[in-house]
Amino acid sequence: MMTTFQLLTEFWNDRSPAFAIALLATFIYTLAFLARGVSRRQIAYFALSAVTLVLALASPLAALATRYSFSAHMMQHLMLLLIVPLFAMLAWPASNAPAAGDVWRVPHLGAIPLGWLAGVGAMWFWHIPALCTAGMQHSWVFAIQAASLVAAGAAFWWPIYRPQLQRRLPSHAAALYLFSGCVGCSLLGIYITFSPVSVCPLYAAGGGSPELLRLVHEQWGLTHRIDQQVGGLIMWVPACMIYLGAILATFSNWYVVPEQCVATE
Amino acid sequence: MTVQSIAPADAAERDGASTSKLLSWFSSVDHKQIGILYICTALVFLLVAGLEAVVIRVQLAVPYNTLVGPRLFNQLFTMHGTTMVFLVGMPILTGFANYFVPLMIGARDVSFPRLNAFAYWLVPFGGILLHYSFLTGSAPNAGWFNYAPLSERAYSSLQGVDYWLIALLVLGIGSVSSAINLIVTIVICRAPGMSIQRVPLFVWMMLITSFLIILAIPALNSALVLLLIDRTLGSSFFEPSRGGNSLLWQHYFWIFGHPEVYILALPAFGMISEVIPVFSRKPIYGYELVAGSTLAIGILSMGVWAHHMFAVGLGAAYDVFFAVGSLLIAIPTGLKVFNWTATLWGGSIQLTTSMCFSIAFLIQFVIGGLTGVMFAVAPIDWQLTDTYFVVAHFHYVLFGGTIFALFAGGFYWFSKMTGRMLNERLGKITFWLMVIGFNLTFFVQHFLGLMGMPRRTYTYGDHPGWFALNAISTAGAFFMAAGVLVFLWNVITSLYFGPIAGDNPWDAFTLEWATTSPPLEGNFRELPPIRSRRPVWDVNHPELADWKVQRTPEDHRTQPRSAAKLASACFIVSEAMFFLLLVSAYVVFNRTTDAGSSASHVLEAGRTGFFTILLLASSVTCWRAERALRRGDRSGFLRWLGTTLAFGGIFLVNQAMEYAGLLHRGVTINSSLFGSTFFTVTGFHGLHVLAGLVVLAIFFTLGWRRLLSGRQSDALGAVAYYWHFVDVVWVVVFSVIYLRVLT
Repeated sequence: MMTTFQLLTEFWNDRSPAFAIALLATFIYTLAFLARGVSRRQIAYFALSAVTLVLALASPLAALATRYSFSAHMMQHLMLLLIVPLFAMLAWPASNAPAAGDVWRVPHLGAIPLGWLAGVGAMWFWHIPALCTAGMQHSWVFAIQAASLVAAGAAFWWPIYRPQLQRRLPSHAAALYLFSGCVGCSLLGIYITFSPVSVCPLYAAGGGSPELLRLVHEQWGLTHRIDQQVGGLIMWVPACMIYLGAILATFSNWYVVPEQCVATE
Repeated sequence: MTVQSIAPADAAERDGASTSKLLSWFSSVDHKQIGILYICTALVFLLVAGLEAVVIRVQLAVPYNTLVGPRLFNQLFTMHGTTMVFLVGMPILTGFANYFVPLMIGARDVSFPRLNAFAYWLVPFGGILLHYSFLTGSAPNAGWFNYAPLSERAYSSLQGVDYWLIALLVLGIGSVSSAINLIVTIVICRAPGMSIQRVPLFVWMMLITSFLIILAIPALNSALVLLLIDRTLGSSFFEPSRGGNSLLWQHYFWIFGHPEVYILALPAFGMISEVIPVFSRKPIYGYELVAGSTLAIGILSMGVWAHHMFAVGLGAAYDVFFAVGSLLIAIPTGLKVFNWTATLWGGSIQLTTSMCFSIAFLIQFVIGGLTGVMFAVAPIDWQLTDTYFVVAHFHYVLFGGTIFALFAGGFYWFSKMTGRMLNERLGKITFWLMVIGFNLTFFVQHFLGLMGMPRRTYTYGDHPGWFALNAISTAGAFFMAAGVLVFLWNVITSLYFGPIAGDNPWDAFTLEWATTSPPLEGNFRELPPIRSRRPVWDVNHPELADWKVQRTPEDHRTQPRSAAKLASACFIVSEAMFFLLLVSAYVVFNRTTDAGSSASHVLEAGRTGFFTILLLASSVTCWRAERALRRGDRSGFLRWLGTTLAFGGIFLVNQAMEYAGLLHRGVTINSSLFGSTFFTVTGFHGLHVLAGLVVLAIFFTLGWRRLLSGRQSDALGAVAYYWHFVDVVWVVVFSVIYLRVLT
């Protein structure tokens, strides 16, 4: 009989490319920003981003997401889409100086609808039952899925946390952008939660390690139906908390008096 | 609203000075007069609902009482709840907002004065409709949340529920109109220097409240129209015996109902945030936190409705998530309480009546909040739901909270509205009567609830302790009734004999005190410079001016934004919510394959697809018409707008033909849930297309008669927003119903 402890200790995938990617990213980050100087906080953000990537793709969570638990799969998506790119972007040193050749004083308009559609659309797209199933059956589809989620997340966060401070969305627009993103993801969450149709029917098919199946279904009580509800609720409630946190963060920036304004006093 | 936008904001001019004073109240478009009308209307309904409450309490004073029977009792608590929420709470808060938001931001009036009057007049209209049901002999009696299937024709066959539904629709339209007006006013009409980070917290709270209103009320409206269709056209959305889903009503109602709690609470928070600093002689502690936590409350409140439904057995997974979400709301709310307390700390507190009510608010609201946290824990909710513990909880929030804050605001602002001071001695009497009465009535109900006394039951058995506690509760109600009477006496006598107030009797901080009491028409003779959050304080105490010690973000607005387009955008958000829930109902009832196949049997996706493209093309032509008007190209404008009208008209004709075909084949609104949802969704969309066509036709006629100039391209732009929105809705409807992407 397998225990949760065994799951947490033994089901790390040390051959996952996530480790290599995280290492490579660390190497590049070190090289690129060693000269320019980054704050401790930015290093911490970077570490968080790398660790989240490894947790999402190589941890027992990833093992569960392969075929045992839909809610683990949802957690994985949430980490790839919302958390990894967010922290990666925050690890980037921001500057007031406009980028070279930057003539736009207003936020670049194309990035906003594209980012929003990418962020919200990616989640909807990968939960069309056929695609969800394909992602579980073929490792190459899964690789595309994971990469596209990170890319879509980066596109989503770009207007809010891009390195050029002056070109970030103004706070009220950022709040609207994030709130509507939250609504978009909530709708998917609500749909998955209440849908009698199985979003990823393969999770109900069984197969794989019977020990692990027993752990999830019997010891944890995550039957397929409850599992899908929890997955939908994860998409709905905690995902919205991330958006809400970002709204409050941009909002608090709103009240900060620009430095030069104080200096003229 | 879209028609309104043709008339620019200078409609504030009254309809001639010759109208008599009394008549001016009926024809007024002045925000101050309309504000007072709102408040007075709400007070009238407060007396009605209060009287109902007293009868309820008298009935419950002793066990086995037979003063009123079960039927009348059901009507009484239903009408008490409905009236208090929709005809007292919302109008009185809207009234204060109407009066003070423009003053506080240094504006002459609201953005759309006529829309404002329209929104107000819907309140008495809805109120009379609701109460007219008494004359039919069957006032609504299914509770203020009117749960289905009890509210269905089969169980409530008389007209009471119909009056309830229509009255709430009318009131909802009014609320959304006034909320849009307030948002546009706050965003556009602020005086120079009044950056949004400097507006008084009451204004800030009203902004968030208004957003909640435009998002939440449409959820109620969609539930109301579905139930109305059930009751009048024979469909079965909420009737399980015919395939419907009564839980859907609960979901829809609480998607509205939970934000509604904050719609009633946030403005009260705003009043408290104005009163406490003035009578502590300090600026508010942590302005940013009070404002930011409001935003957090607003967003969280939209996603936790299912905690009202723990008892229906949604399942452990739901309960956990909604419990956690609900508990989270305690954090920003607690933050606020902390900020108010910290504002009091070290202040030189002046215990005016207004301040007394604020302090009582703090204590009572915390009690109501804590029992709220208890209810967020699902097992406690299972135990206590539908007992008097719930009644105690929400009265501590809405009476001990909101109504006490209203008294605080009323005593604070009365001098500004009338030019005379209320009597402080009578005020203190009112205060003590209310505090004692309120706590007598509702504190003991906690115990009654714990003992298991069910709410909404017309009488009770002689169980140990029940009679004593109920008698105390009833006695408290009379204290409160006396308090209200003393207050009304105070108002009437002070109106004629109260001491003259002067401009700023409290040495208060915000702009409404920078003008005469009552303010003159157009509000201000001259505005003080706005360089901080307390401009009036800065003027009166130049040596201690806020801007010398604390910088606040400057006002960076450069060019004026379009009020019409902003209003249109808000209206669209509201309508989007309405359609979202209607389409959701379609998805709920047509998600299984057999139901879906009925759609593929009767619908012709190809044909409708062609007309969809036509409708989308009309968006492009509408945009071209707007551009032509801006350029002053009249013939181009008429050509493009004419094409738009033709495309829209053809789309509607096709829809009518499709309907005729379906009816011919026996698919009607009451034949199956597919028919019900199909006709409801496409029907409401068709009505929106028709409304858009009517407005565009008005523009066409105006253009034809050479009455349009480039200046009006802005108004046409606002209508064009709406037209594009109608097209986007159709794309969603087409994908869901005809292409069945979700099934």
